[in-house]
Amino acid sequence: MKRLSICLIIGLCCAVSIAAPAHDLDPLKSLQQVSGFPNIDAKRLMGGEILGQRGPLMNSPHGISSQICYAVRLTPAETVKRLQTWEPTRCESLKVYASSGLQIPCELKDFNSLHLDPGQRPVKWLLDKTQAITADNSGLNLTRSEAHELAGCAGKNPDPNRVSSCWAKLLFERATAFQNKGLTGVLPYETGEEPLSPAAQVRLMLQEQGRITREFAPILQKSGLMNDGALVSPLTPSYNWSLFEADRHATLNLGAVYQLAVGDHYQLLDFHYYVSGCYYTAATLYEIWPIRVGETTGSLVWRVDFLAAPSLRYTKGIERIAYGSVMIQEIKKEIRCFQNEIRTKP
Amino acid sequence: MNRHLDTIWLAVKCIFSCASFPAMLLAAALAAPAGSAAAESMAVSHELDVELGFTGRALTLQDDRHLGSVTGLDADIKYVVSSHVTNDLLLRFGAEWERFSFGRPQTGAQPDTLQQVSAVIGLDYQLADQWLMRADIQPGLYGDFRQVGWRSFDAPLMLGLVYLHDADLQWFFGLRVDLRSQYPALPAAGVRWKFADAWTLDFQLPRPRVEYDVNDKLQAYFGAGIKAGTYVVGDHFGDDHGMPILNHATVDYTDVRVGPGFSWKVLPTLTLEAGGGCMVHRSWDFFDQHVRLDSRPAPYLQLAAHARF
Repeated sequence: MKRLSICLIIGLCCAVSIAAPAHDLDPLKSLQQVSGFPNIDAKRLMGGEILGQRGPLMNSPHGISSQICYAVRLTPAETVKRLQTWEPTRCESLKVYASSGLQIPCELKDFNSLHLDPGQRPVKWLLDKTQAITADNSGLNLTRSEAHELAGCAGKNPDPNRVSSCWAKLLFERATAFQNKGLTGVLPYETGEEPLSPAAQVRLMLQEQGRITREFAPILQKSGLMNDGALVSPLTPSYNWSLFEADRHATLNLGAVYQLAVGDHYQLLDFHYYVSGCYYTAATLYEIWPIRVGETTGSLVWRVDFLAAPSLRYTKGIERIAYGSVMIQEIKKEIRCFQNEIRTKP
Repeated sequence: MNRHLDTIWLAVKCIFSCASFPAMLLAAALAAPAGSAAAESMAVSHELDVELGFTGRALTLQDDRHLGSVTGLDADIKYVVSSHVTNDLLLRFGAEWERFSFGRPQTGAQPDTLQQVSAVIGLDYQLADQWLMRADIQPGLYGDFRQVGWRSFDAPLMLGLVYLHDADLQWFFGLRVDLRSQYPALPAAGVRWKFADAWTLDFQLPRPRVEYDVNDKLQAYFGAGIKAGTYVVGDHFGDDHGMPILNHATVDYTDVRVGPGFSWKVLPTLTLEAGGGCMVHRSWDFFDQHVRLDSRPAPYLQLAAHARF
């Protein structure tokens, strides 16, 4: 799920106590109970259908969410594994330029494949933005200290290799802080009008969707998100970074993927704890049940995506509805790539 | 994950601009959907569009008879507030004022003013995963405003459908219904296709364009602009123009402009536009009386401001 997802979740402490997830029911009933899908046809899902639904309008000005449901012909354990190991760079339509896992502890060499190629217009945008950074205003998600450091490192030197290594250093430092301190190690973005924390953005969005927060309480608690990140998670996530295109702009991100077995099924959380620009953060929650349709067995996958982006603050009315619908189409595109990979490499 | 966060210009743009109405309706509209979380700022959105255009001297003919050169000035102000009623339904209320004024030649049946004042009452609805719909009706007064009466009342209806293929491609289908017009039902189709990183084909009436993103805030475009409406002239319009047959006649006005322009996103909520080029077509068609005036091409300049908040 390296790039597979958008978001994560932050649970609300108050929601945890009421958590009574539908763990022991039939998977379809469980899903219907907790999701927004009124009609789910397992046969059609196994045939490749992907259901999508926009989340409700949020009070959080930057937030948007969606739910997706699909099935794959793999066991839940295998699905979980494949979600974390499939290579999105192989699916051209996703426009992922580079993606890689990180060691624990991560090393600077983990970012060796980060190369910003100015021949690609979206990447040139990032190079230009980096060149134009000042301590007070960068248009990128940085602390003041990072902005100062990046400005000093890249300077006015247009060499893309130099800029790439400056970004690699920044990502390395952020990834190390997260591996050591969890959410408390995530520095807020300070180059906007006011400091903005990615984790706080996810929490805000989760606050508005209590039913989902309750369903995913187990992983939200154990990932450390439901206790304000005060505790280091007892789960060891897999870590990754990637360079991809978002809104026609090259974007760097750092992600952590948590997984938890809950009875006969799994919960996963993919959290973008750092994003260089275009959006603030994203989190994807997965619940994966075993499913049987006739003689065919597989996994029923429910994913809930949360996305916080600055442009959403000004996207209202029908445009916001359209935005949510397009977001679902883009996620479906990603899922189709994933399903195709499973079909070609079962 | 690949995230296309394109700003989505999906305002299911109505097939031609229309008119508007009294301020009290607007005030009522602002207060209307109180039950739908009006206190939540994200549930209520506002659109304000202001346009001003000038057309240079254009040789104008009435049934092949030269009337002389006519200049034109047009202004349009439209405000709409929309509010979520459910997750899939928004109600729209607003008002629009649009005015065309023309330098009047010594002879001929050309009106010196055409204008509309109308309300905007409509809805946006998500029909299915990838389908959005807009329906707007604009009841109001459409005429030369020399005499305002029941004859000036009209209520054109605009229907629009959008199919969201993905972040880069959307299809538009529209229908304008105005029972007074020579063409009471006018269908249209369009597409918005971001076919390259910096290029977008935004082929939507009434402003089909090819756009080039110079940077995040500045966009250059080349395209057309169509302004059209159906109006009723005054009871003595024909007498004043030496053609009594045109008293309280209905006239279809159309102008088509082609040219380049720039769009500058000054703020996330405010876009300014400036364009110019050639007005390639302008006509006043008193279709019931078989009287028609046409203008030859002429230069034009246009300024606009669009606010979304």
